[in-house]
Amino acid sequence: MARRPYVREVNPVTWWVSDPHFNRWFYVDYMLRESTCIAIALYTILFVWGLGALASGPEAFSGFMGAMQSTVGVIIQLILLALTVYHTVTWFKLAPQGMKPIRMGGQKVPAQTVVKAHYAIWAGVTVVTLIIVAVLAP
Amino acid sequence: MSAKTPSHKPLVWLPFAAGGMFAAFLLPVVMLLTTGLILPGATSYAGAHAFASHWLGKLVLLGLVVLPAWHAAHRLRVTAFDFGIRADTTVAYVVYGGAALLSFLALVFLLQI
Repeated sequence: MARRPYVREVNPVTWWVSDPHFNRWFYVDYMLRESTCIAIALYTILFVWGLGALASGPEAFSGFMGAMQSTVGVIIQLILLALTVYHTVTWFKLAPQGMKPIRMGGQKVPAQTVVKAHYAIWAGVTVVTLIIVAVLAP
Repeated sequence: MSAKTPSHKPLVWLPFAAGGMFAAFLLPVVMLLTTGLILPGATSYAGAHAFASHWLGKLVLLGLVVLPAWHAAHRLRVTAFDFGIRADTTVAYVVYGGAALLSFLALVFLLQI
């Protein structure tokens, strides 16, 4: 390591708003993706709350679900859903860079194929979940 | 570091990656279901109670809490740093403690059903 490494002065709070070395939205996009974990955390809290209501009995649970499925509740969940989907999509995009290259028949599987496989699995998981739910709770 | 030195990293990264998987693949459809916009029977008391009464249902519901909670906690810690919060140890206690509390509560609630 160099004895006096160059440290560029950056504001620790606002550094991502505009970075001279990347295009304007590069780090804004990065921070948006990072922030989607807040949506996942909030939804998990709601989910545990719902489990508590389910354990308390029918009245508590219908009260909880009434709030979840009110106009405000649905709007909040759709916002959380949009952020979670953004996490999903961006994660799929970077998946080929995060894994070792897969070889099939001596050929490297192209990155785009890996991404498409993720979308296929996502669609599969979603459809299978909906089928199981439809069968269990018509 | 010698190749033989055991590392705790797999223990931390495995649930983190599994949480990422759960969050990416399963949470969107679960969120859609709890809005009641599709298959409203799933969020009726009878439907939800029947699902949570079976041990396999309990396991799925517990997984839907523990894995995303652990995943979100780790990312919240890093995100807090990115937003300029430098008290990493305090943040770590809060987020991992929160994830542990949520996991514990979910387990207690599920065992009551």
